Amino acid sequence: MSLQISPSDLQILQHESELAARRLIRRLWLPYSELADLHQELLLDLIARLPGFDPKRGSLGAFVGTVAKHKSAGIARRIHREHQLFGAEPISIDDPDRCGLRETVPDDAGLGSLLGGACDAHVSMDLARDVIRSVSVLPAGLRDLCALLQSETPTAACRKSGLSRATFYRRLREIRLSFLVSGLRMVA
Amino acid sequence: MTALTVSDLQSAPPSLTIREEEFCEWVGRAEPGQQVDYHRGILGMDRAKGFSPFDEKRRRELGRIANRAMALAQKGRLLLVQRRHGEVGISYIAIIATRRRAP
Repeated sequence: MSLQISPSDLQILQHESELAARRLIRRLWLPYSELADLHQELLLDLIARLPGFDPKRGSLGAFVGTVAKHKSAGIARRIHREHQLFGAEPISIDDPDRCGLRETVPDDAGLGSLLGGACDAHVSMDLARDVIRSVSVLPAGLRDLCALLQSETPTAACRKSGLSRATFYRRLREIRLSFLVSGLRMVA
Repeated sequence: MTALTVSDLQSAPPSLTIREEEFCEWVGRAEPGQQVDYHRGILGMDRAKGFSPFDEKRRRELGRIANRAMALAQKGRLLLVQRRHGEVGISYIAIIATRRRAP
């Protein structure tokens, strides 16, 4: 028996799955490049579970929201396990000079500029873990900014954020101070 | 610690006891039990527009330091205490809280 989904129902599924994917990106400090994959994974799960929806028990939006929440929790657990096994930025043992953070963001740009110094590959693994922990306690708006800075220079991030330059650099300063409060500091 | 005197407050140019970045760095590296004065004076007045002896930039910075100290105290990371110096003012002290062990 084929599954029939109306256009309006599909819109609800797409909207909720995208919201849940963005929430995961923010909370787990994942790169935005993973948004499409997470969105697809959540959407497929919603479609698969749609036959379980009973209109007598509530609205489709509420059903989909609950399903997406549970699926998101499972995805978060899986990612956390992967981070524990392989680190937040997996580094090949055959390429000891590769530094995941440094490859994507130069030292004088992005989060590197906030932490004020260069790092080597061994320090970067511990640093990446500490940064993730420090970012996780930031307010949502500042976490979004950190996610943006993971792949953009401050100039590009400022432009993409839509914030005024003054507000953007004020928030960067707040991120830096929060990192200091968390005990995050670079090893020279 | 030596007690503040009236002449101490009247003669010295107004300056913050600790800068915001220094305070944040101290919180990040201090051990449980360690303490720092994050302000000396009358905080309520010193951070209030129209009453503060500081210029606007420093006044706002003091406000941010005080707000951050309060927020960290509410999260259980700091204990905030005061030591009065006679009639001349108060030392506002932040103490790193001891981390509770899980049962």
